Amino acid sequence: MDVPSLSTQLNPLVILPELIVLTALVVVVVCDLIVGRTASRWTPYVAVSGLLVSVVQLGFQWNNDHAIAFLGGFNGDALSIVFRGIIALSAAVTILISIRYIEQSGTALSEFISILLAATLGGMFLSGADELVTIFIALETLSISSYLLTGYMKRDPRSNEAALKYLLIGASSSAIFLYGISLLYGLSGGATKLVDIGTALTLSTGLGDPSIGIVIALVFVIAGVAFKISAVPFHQWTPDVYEGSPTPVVAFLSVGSKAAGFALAIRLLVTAFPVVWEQWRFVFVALAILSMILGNVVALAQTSMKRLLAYSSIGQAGFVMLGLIAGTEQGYASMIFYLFIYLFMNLGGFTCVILFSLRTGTDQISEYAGLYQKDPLLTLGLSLCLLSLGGIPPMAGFFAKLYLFWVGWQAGLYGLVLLALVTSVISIYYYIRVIKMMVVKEPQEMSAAVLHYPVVQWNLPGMRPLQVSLISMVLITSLAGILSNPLLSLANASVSNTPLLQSFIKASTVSVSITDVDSHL
Amino acid sequence: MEAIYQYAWLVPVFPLVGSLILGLGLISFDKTAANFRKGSAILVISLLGVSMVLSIILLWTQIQGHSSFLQVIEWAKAGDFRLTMGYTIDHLSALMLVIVTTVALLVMIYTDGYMAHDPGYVRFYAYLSLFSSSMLGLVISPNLVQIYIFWELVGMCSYLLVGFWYDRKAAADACQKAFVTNRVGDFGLLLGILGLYWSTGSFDFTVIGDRLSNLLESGAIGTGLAVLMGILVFLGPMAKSAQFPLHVWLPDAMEGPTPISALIHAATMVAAGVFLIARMFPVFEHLPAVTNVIAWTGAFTAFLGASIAITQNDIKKGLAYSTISQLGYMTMAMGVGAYGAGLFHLMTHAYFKAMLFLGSGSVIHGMEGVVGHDPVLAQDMRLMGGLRKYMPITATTFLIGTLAICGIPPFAGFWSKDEILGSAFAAQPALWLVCWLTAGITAFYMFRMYFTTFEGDFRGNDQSLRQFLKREAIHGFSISVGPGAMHADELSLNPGDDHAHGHHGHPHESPITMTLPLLILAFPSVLIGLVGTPFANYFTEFIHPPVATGSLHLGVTHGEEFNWNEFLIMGGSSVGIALIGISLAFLMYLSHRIDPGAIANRFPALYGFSRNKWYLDDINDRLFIQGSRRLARAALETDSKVVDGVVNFTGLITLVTGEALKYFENGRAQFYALIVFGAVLGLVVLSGVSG
Amino acid sequence: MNLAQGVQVVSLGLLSLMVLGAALGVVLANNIVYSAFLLGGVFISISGLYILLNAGFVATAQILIYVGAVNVLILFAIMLVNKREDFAPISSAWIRKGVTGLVCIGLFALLSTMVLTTPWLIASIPASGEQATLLIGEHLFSDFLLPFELASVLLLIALIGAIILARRELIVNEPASGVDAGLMLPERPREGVAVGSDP
Repeated sequence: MDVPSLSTQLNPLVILPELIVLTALVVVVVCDLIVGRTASRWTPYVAVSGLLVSVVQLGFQWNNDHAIAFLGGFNGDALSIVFRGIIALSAAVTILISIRYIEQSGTALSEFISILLAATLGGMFLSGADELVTIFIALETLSISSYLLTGYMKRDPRSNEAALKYLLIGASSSAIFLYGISLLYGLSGGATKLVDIGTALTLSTGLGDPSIGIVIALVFVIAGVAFKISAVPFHQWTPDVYEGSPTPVVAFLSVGSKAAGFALAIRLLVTAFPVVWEQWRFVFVALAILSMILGNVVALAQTSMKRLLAYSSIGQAGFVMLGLIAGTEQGYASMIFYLFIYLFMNLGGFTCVILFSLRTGTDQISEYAGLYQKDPLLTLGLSLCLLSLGGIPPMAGFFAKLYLFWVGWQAGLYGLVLLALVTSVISIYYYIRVIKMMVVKEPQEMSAAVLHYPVVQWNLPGMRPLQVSLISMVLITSLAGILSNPLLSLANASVSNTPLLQSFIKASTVSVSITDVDSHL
Repeated sequence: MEAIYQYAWLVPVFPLVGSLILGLGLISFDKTAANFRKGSAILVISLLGVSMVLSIILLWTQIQGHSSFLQVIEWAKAGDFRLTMGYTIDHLSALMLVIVTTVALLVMIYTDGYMAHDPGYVRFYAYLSLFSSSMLGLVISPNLVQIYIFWELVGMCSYLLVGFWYDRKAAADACQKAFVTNRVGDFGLLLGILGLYWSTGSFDFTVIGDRLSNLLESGAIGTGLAVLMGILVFLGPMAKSAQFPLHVWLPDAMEGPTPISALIHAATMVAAGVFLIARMFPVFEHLPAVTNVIAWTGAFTAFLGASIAITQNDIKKGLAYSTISQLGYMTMAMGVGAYGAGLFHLMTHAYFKAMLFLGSGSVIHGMEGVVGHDPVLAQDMRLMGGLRKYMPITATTFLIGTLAICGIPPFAGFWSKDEILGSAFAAQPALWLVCWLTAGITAFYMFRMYFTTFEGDFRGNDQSLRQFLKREAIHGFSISVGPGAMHADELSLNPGDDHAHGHHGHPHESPITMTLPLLILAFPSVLIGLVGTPFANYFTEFIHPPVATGSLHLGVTHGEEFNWNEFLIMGGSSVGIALIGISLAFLMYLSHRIDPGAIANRFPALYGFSRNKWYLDDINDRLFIQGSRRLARAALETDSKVVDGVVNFTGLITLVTGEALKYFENGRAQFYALIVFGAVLGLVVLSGVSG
Repeated sequence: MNLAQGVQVVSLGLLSLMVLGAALGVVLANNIVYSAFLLGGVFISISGLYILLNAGFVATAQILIYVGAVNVLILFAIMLVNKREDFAPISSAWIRKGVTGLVCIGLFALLSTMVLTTPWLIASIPASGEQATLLIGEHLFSDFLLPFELASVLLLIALIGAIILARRELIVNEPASGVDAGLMLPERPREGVAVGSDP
């Protein structure tokens, strides 16, 4: 193989956005080593600008016709671009909100940022990985960085405990996932590319029922994915880890890591498992039902803000699965749209939680009592984000939810949509409870933390990025719903520009109509 | 003139800008902004004034025959799912714009006087402005989705404003009640909207109507289903316009400041329900079952409201029940197909009821000077009397409003009510009978209110009566809260007294900012009815259903075949029963020839029935509130025992095996892993079975 | 059956027995040091299986990584902790063991059914035998280039993470205003910032 043809087959420019992030990572590590501690004043901004440049570069690749890179190992189609964008954006915001937090906790900032960048890198590769080995390595890069981030506050026993638990459960789920993909390798006769696997499985199954091996491989793979998106019953790590980890890490885990999980789910299931479409739908219906019910119901009983958000993120993942189950073009678009909106509203919420804990040192919901009197801006921001998470119009979350439910309804998932409606009403209750705690309290009912609330100062080091992220997240959350068309068309275009989704949708609708005809006969 | 239509969207934007400025100011610079009182008021009022001028110009061009205007932009598009957003200016919306802006402007001017001493003055203006903006947005919405959005916004503003004095327990309870009741209705409305979209694929009123009639004709959807969707949609107006059985929130909502009661809970927001029915007219006209339900709900509500209003002693509660009753009239008019008549009554009612409420606010303001800032005393009519001497302007305008609501010609209420009664008679005489009786009761209770408040002697300085009222309030309060909530003795019996000593012994007339709106509102209350007289009905010519109503009998004849005899009989009978009601009130409350107490004692059951609001609150309390409390308690128990157990499944195991696992001890992680493996196993088995 | 085949069958049986026995020992042994050593036995036996499959490179890698690194690390960790603690006997531990056993038996039943019933696709490419190492190398630099390079990032981050976790904390009371702090790695107690709440 001569050099030019090798380079066209590798097509390495597709991963240029990842290379930019990687460069930022190396710059952060090396400069911190050379310059010393003072470097932490500007390394975060290097990382953020690297991530933003990467997002811009992703935008340039939108209409790339040669999306397949590394001999089929990586796919830079529109779907992966959107998910990589979501992950990179969430990482950028996470860095902005973590600067002050890490500084105040007295741990090293540059290392934190480099680990976070590595996690981002893993997530971005995962979104585009089209081959089993790449998928696994990318997944592990994301996971191991996440374990490290979780245990970053090593003086805090809770952080240690969280990291250990996360590591143990994560390792088990990785093992299950690995078992699943090794089964796939065997079942397909030694193929590692998802497309080849899909073809081999279809051929071997023919028109009969899929063999039990395929079903087992499917469930094992889904178990690995469900762990990443923390779907019930693979969610138990979530509350403990969310509570113990540094809050910015939680923000990243709940958005970036989850988005990567969904990207993996879509690509893997759609490309490799079209043959067991019914089965994976069924499994996800079960996961969605359990996640929506358990996440939202248990969130009612929480007293800590971070645990509340943990359970709420489980519930939110349940909602997103609706789009995946629907399996239509609209379904995938609604997932992407929801994840975009979720990125803004959830990170906005976490920004507020971080601000509050920086100023008072607590996360208890009861300590938020009467905050309105002391810090109206924070109260407003948190209220808007929570309302959006609850799906109250005219916040962006309402439109995102509406779109998801709508798509589900059109796909005939009446029961699921009704359940989603009921559970989202439940979720409104616990979100509103926090808002009520902050707003409708008389001065004498103020909590001790709020009573000794420090004077709001934005000129302390590291506070400006927090302010920037707070205001921009809240603004987007409140306006993105009303002006949702750009995001909506982006989500739709990403689905319609992605060949694999298109062919899958066509095939599945044909098969559905065939089964319809059968059932009519 | 086209240019003004291009910029018609500014009408709701102006108040929105005002509220945003005030709101951001309050959030960023709490103290400074709160002290910038006059400036804020002037800013908001002038912004709304601009909107009003725009609206009036729009209405004028519409009257001149400008064609209706629709401007939409694509708002969200996802595949074949399209949402548009924009605004429409037609006869109906232009009229509603003018009603809302004028009433809102006057109420805002009034607020300056009423809330002068309140620390939340600026916040109040911000809310008011936000409400006006949402309401204006609602009336120019071209499709159901947009209506729903503004509908919720309006509801939220109402919630905020009812609970404005959230430190008062009654107000906090009332706003929750309003919120919950409205949620019930809104849920139905949302389901209805979704159902209609599901069947017709559109959010546009006329399109839905056309397609629905096609679908019904072709039999693609069953009549039952269509009726169900219609009723679901009607649940929205039912809650918002306080129709039975979702009317319970409106009287309690009077805990909000009086300007709010006047603007939201009398003139504009509650009329939104009627407005929505009007907008949905093209849909409903294909569903006679739904229109029948609407008509009978309206008529029943009209009667119910009036019968409860007879025995209310709180001046605002009395007016609230009269509002419920009048809204019943409008709803019924919509139900019998009297589109123009219903909206005509909406307009006249908006003006005279706003005036009545503002008048009651003025009275309360005056009474507070005597009895202190205690709603129990300041709003009770038994402590008033003879106020005409002290508050002549308020008394006169209140009398005008009373005459208008009673339907005495030539005041505004007469013409609109007469038109409704006429169309009711043409549609179903039974409906007419109910409404006719209600008209008599209305006259009775309104004049009872007027006489006890403004005529006779002033009773406000009667200390024993005050003590009696306080005790009664506490008694009633402790019952409604339930045992154990707060012991009656803990409530001080005389907190208002120390205030009272500082005030002079008789009430005073309110400041000019309060009386001026009253005076201005008096004009439309007297005159506006003349645009809709049966012999020259400009109103019905202007406001008519958007499509030709073939299937329904239109009660209102369009002026050309006007029949004097019929008019005289109908009008005469309604004026007659109103006069009977007035004379009864005169005999009982002014000349005291008949002792109302004796009648109440003769029929204690009936009296109690009305006094306790048909026991509807108690039924609600037993049926829903206690039930849901029990449910909540059960849920709490489940929560603490089962759910927590499931969450910390180890905890459950702990319970079972009796071992003392603590949080930091290991054992949990293994268990989690076990669950993961078990779940994998279960999922494989399940999907194998199902697949 | 010729001699070579006979040897293969016998060694397959022996290796399988070793794997199973050692694995059971890992789980059932009470002394953790025994478990660790038995784990090494499992790894070595598995590498024997690889040799039977003609996969010399993988077998070597298995011994190098799992026995040489992982297992030694485990032993180091056990020796470093060096804490003998008598765990209190858990009453009615049979429930946990029972449930765990059930799940394991279920999984085993499931997987064995799968192994027996699935029509496995056999790769059409002939086994590479001695050429395996070469082939792996070619793959690593052509179609598995991306994961190969990504693994370097993974290793880098694992390295950084290990250093962070292991480095000694030099606690100073206050960071010296940012100047000349290159050598210090202050990580002071986190007053004012509680990450979570009381458990």
